[in-house]
Amino acid sequence: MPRSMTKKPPQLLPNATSTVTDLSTDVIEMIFGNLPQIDIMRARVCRKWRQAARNAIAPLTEFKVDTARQYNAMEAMVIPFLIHSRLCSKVSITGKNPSTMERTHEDEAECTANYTTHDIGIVSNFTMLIHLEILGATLSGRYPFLFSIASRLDRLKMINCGGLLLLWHLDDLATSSALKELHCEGTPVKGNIKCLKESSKII
Amino acid sequence: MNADECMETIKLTSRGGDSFELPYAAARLAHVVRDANDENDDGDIDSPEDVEILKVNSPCLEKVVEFLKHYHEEALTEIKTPLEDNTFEGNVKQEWYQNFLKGIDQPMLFDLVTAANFMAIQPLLDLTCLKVSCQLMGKSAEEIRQILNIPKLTPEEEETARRDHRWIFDD
Repeated sequence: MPRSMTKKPPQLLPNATSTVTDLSTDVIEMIFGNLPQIDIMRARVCRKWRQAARNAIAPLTEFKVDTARQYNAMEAMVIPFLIHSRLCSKVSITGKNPSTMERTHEDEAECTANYTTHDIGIVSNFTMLIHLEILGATLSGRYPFLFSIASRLDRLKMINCGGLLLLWHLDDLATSSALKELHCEGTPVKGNIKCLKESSKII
Repeated sequence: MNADECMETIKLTSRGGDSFELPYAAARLAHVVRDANDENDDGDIDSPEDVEILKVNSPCLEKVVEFLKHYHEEALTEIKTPLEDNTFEGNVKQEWYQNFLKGIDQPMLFDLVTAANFMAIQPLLDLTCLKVSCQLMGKSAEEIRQILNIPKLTPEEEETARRDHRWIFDD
């Protein structure tokens, strides 16, 4: 006597086929798990697929932001990834590069007067971040909450960022439990370096 | 008896009533078959029994059985993510698995995804999901709708989508 793997007789016709709407959200998440972020965004073509996009863990790929349009794209990612915040990604925020490293604050202010500044809070939408690189971007806002939200962040690279708008404090960085590598170059940092050494951080 | 070394065959019966015979050792890749046969954690069973898979239609179950038989002889190698290539063939190097899904239509592909999920055959699920992923990769929202056979947006919905997410529609 063969064993049946359904308790109720199926209501479908004997040879009815599946359609895209029959796929469960779990399966759609698996499909999304193979896709880069841009394709996940494009594939949110109906309610169920939008729901799956919220939960999908994208593969570890670089998402580089170096134009206003891409920054807007990053903001738009709030829709699928902010609520469940399971994006696993490496984000690089690239802005205009300062022409020299040794400028006075006045020079810096003059040079950056026309820059568009971005609120670093946008990064906090991506709580599965592992690598974060901020390269020459003019950022504003408050960052300490990044390290309590992005608890998996293990490598932070900041090159020529911060300027007059954002001052990094080592005590805040030390609160990140996963942070293993910190690379600061041309970025104003203050605080006691011992707090990082005690946490086995590498500079 | 150890299920992995079991030489007996069983029949899987589809929703349409067709039965497909295969070695139990191959069929047990499907967790639904293991569960139906009360296989314990050590992989021991008394005597394998036939299983009715009433949620899967005949053409699809035939393909599933074809997969199970071959997998028993040549396992699918792990699919690496992030994907190495934008094409299915670029990510699945084994010729048999490339050909297994070559030329199948979209309803059959979704049938296989659904069957793999229901029967808990992880390698088949990985393979079929990869096929769908590769079909979607690099496509515009409109092309994805066509591939998935999703009704078009109304002019009002499209206008709203283009306004809210212009960057998605730009190439």
